[in-house]
Amino acid sequence: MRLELGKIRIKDVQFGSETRVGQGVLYVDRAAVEGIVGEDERIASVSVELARPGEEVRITPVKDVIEPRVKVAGPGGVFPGMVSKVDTVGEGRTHVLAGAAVVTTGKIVGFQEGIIDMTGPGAEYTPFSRLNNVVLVCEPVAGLPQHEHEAAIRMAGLKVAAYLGEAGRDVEPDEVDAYECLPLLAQAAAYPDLPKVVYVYMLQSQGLMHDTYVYGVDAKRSLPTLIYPTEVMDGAIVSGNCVSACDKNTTYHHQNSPVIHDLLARHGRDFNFIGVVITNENVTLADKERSSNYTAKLVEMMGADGAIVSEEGFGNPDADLIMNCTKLEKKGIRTVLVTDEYAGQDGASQSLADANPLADAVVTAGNANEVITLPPMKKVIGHPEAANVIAGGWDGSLAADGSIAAEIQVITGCTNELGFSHLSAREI
Amino acid sequence: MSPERYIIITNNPEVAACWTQISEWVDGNARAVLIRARGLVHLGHRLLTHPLAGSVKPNESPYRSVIVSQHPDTTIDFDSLRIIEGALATVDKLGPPRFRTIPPNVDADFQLIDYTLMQSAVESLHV
Repeated sequence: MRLELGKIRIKDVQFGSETRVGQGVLYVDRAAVEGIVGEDERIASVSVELARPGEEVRITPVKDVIEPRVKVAGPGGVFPGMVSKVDTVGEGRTHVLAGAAVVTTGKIVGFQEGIIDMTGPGAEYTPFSRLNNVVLVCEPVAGLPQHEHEAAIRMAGLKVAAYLGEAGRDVEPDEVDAYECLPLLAQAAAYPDLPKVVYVYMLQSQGLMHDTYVYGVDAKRSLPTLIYPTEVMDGAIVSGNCVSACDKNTTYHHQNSPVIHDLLARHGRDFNFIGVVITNENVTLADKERSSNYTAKLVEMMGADGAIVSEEGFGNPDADLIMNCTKLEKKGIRTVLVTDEYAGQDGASQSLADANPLADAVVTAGNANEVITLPPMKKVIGHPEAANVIAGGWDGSLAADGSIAAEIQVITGCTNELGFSHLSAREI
Repeated sequence: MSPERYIIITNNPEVAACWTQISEWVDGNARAVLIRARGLVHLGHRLLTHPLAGSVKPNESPYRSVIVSQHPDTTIDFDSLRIIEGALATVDKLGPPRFRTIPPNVDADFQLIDYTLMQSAVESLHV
């Protein structure tokens, strides 16, 4: 399975009379976007806003971030099972409007979270401050149940990303990266002397506001299964997860998972990256046992020597993470875990809700309880009053001048457990 | 394997109203729900759901529900004990409830999220 990602560098976004890409600028036909969102009778109104890097703009509460793309060769279309038919993706050629994103916002529940500041100290904590964002502020029809509201906004974001992506169909990309993944036995045989590594990709799947979709299927309805890395890169997984802003995987993260990119970059040199196992994070302990048993068995069946395991979310998924880790380790498959920490505002407390001595190689994306003060912005897109009731905020978080004192967990993507961040600690 | 019989320990009115016959009401905060669940684990009940279900933080939502097996075993399930102790340590680490006053619409949403997590669990337990 060979996938080419043709990256069209987007340096600016502007409204225009037609949607197109020219000289690195994405021009957006505002009325056309409003029309696409308005097709859904569950949405009463939508306003389309633009937010560029460096502007004094705050977006909140952020639901999802999505990269606009278009499939130009090969089977399937963007977001299969959601926007396109459920053809298998991951091969052929896909054009990417790199540097642009669709951001959805809407107050689905009263305590919804997620801040993107386009400048200032908060901007350092979110990679999305560096993108040219097309923001959809959607208002539901009166009385719309929350799960319908979530679905409507999720679909609005995906449809608009697909629409904007079409503007890149006939544009010559600035660069083209090619990725090739082989069937399992061929992949394993390709580098017989290198250790075989599998990526275990944990997907949040606990219920309303906590869901992830694979080819349109709610991940909790599936046993752990295999997927080619290029399928993930090509939009097979989308987010329906609205909680835990700092460490949820948005659709943009799934499209651009640095774990998959880095594994592919070192594949054939340092190790043999033989495939991805996707698994879920459920509410009952029996489901957690079943999924972790099945995950460990699949990784063993693949003949792996080692596994990278990434978590999504906090608290009870720590139990899934540790179950996956210990069951793999007990089969002789060494693990490296990728997570974040809730170590208290002073950083002194136990980081995870579960632990085991076998979890002896762990990568952290940072402490979500660190406190930050976000200065006021000239413009707020969305619902600023949400800051008082979001995770990591508290009564009085939102000051009269518009500044927000809160834990960094309020910031979308700040401790992302795929390591998608510009912040890091390095040895010097 | 016959379906597991269970009790829902809850301080969430929406959960209690939905599963009147099989819920046990806790008149207290989210931590009190976990303390009651730990007491039942000490008596031999097993945890059937993770006590930190959902990614809504325990010091954020005032509501919490935990499902345990209806009948106690003769021995303590140490996995359940480890998990409930870990959950309580997490609640204590994150500190007291953040919000002195919760607007009514937000309160209803907190109840709803906890309820939907239980709905997801109950569907799974009845398979």
